[in-house]
Amino acid sequence: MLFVSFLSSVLVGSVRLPTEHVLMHLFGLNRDSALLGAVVDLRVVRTAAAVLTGVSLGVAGAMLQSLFRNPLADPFILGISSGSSLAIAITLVLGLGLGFVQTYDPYALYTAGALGAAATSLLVVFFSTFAKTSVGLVLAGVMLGYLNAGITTLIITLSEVETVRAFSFWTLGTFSAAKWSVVEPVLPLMLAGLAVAFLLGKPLNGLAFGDEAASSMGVWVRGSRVATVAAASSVVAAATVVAGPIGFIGLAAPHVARLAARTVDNRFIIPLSGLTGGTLAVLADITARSIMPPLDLPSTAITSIFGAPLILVLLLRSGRTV
Amino acid sequence: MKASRLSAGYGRRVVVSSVELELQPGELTVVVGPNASGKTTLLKTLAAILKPVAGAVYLSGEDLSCISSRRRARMVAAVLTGRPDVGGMTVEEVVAMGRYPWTGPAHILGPRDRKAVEEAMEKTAVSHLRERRVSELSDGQFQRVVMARALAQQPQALILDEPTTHLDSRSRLEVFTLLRRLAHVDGLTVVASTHELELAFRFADKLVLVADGDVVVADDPEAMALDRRFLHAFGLDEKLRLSPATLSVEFTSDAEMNQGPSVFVIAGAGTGAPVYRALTKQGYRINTGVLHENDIDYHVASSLGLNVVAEKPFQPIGAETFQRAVNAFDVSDAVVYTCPPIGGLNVRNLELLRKSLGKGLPTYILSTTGATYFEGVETVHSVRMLLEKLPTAQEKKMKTV
Repeated sequence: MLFVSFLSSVLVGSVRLPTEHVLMHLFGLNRDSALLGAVVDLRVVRTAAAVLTGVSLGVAGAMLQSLFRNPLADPFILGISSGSSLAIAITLVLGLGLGFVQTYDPYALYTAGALGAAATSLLVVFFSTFAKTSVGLVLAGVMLGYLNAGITTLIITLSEVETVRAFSFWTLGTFSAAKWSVVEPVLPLMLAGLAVAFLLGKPLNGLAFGDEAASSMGVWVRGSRVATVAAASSVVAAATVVAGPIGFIGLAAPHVARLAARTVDNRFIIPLSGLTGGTLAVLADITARSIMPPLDLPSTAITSIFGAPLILVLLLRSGRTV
Repeated sequence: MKASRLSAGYGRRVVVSSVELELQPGELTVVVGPNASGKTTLLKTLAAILKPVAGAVYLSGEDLSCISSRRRARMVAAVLTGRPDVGGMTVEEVVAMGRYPWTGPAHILGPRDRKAVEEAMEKTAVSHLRERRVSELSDGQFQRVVMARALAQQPQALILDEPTTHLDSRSRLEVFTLLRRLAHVDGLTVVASTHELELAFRFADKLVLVADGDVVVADDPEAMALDRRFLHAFGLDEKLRLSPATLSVEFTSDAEMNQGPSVFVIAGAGTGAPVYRALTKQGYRINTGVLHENDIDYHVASSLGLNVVAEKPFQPIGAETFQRAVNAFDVSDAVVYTCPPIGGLNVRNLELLRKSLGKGLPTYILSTTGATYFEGVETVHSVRMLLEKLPTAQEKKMKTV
């Protein structure tokens, strides 16, 4: 499924290219036309960026839903994505202003993004000890998200035109700006986060029984929680650096994965949710650039249009239990 | 398992202090105590889920708070209250989670793990439910599944907090029967808390009372039934009574509630017990006699707090005792004769019946067999019918006005 959508993503675009030429170029059979090669390379990068972002968000969503025992947890809803972009905005403004960082220094941006995500996650964890219901947690997350977005807007408005332009790539939540130079550096960190995430399947299954029962089964509760927040922050930050805050993939992917696999075992759901997230992100990207070509819509608009109703349905369905 | 100078609590707040416990393998220990007395805190500390505020818990000579959570989970397993939100998991998956401390990072079950899971499901009789989702289980089934999960850990000690809450009496009995088997047959150290005093007395090898921050251990559970601290903790010295002979609890009728007409019940050999309870419920004041002190009716009447005219065991009813019963007629609004078996020792109860007829008191014969014993006396055939005939509290008031 992911592979098919990957291919179709490379095939579809505002410049119409013959299918067989694209395929031949992709598989290295016939690399002739310079124009063709350039366009295809652009699309491959873009699609790769979409896949990585989607996988990250899917994995992070699965982990967060399990950690908070809440079907509505998602990096975007809990404000973690916006925390990441706030940190990126601060880094851009301060860094550019003081001359510490280059405009597109992905390492600095990534570090800032990860710290921002982690800080917001910790705040959400803190709030979740008070707000025990699903709705309470989601409200806390949404408010944190607004707070982050508000501060981000303030910073951007007050900063110079150059910085605003540099930042606009991220806030839109689109894969169109993807370049190897941005994707490549965050890749190892993202992969590290994903590797940790896959190992967290077992402890997260244990934590589903409640902290104390989990502890009696031999789960190292605090360690697992910290690792989960760290891994989720790491991949969410990577996704945000590449594509800006993209909503709802992190929410929808785990649900789709659970429905498809008919299990709640996190050892399977976390990777599956990653695959689903990747597929959803690519589909969203294809949709974003095919609805009104050559206009390129922000992917987050697409995911929001499909994702928001999903939340409403989930809320209505769980209304009796929250 | 051993606890020495153990203080259990949360953070700095001590809930129970200076606990000295020694629990043997093959022994079922039941922890009782009123609500919020610290049973749960003590159990969680024994299971090393909570850190002791002071002192330590040892199992096989090892301090549980000093070993890794993985090793600890292989030694002691806990079943806590509440139904965790794992509804999407199947029964087999939940039980397999018990292998957590034995499997690698991917939680892949080896042959030994599978065997442990199978055995655990067999012992708790949930094998047939293995494919079911947890959300479809009844409370009793769920409790057995969680116990299977704990057993799959293959622990030496099993600790359960209120395993019988929310269960019907049959499931409660099943849970305790299983616990006894785990202790006596499989040689586990089993500790369980419960509210059900009667279950606790019947199943415990060792009874532990938690009350007012103190822990009292009784190696002989029956001895606990006489312990003042125990009786006080459960209010068994007030409106409730625990009979040391049958270990059952009866409610003493509330003096303020029972201001109704006074009824004298001539009973014996268990014929009076249902009448006592029915009349007490309706607010009548009851005198009863003449009962022998070894009669079951005497036992019920005294635990209900009734006025009993009693004779010593296996003695014929004496003249003085008889006179006391007749005197009681003076304050009675009605007399009920419950047709007790009459023999040489209590034959004077018949005489008592004649006396009441002679005095012109409203007298009723309750004959549940349907036979009529005495011509000319009103005979009723059920307690319900009796209640309809007896003067009610309102009627009595009208008379006195």
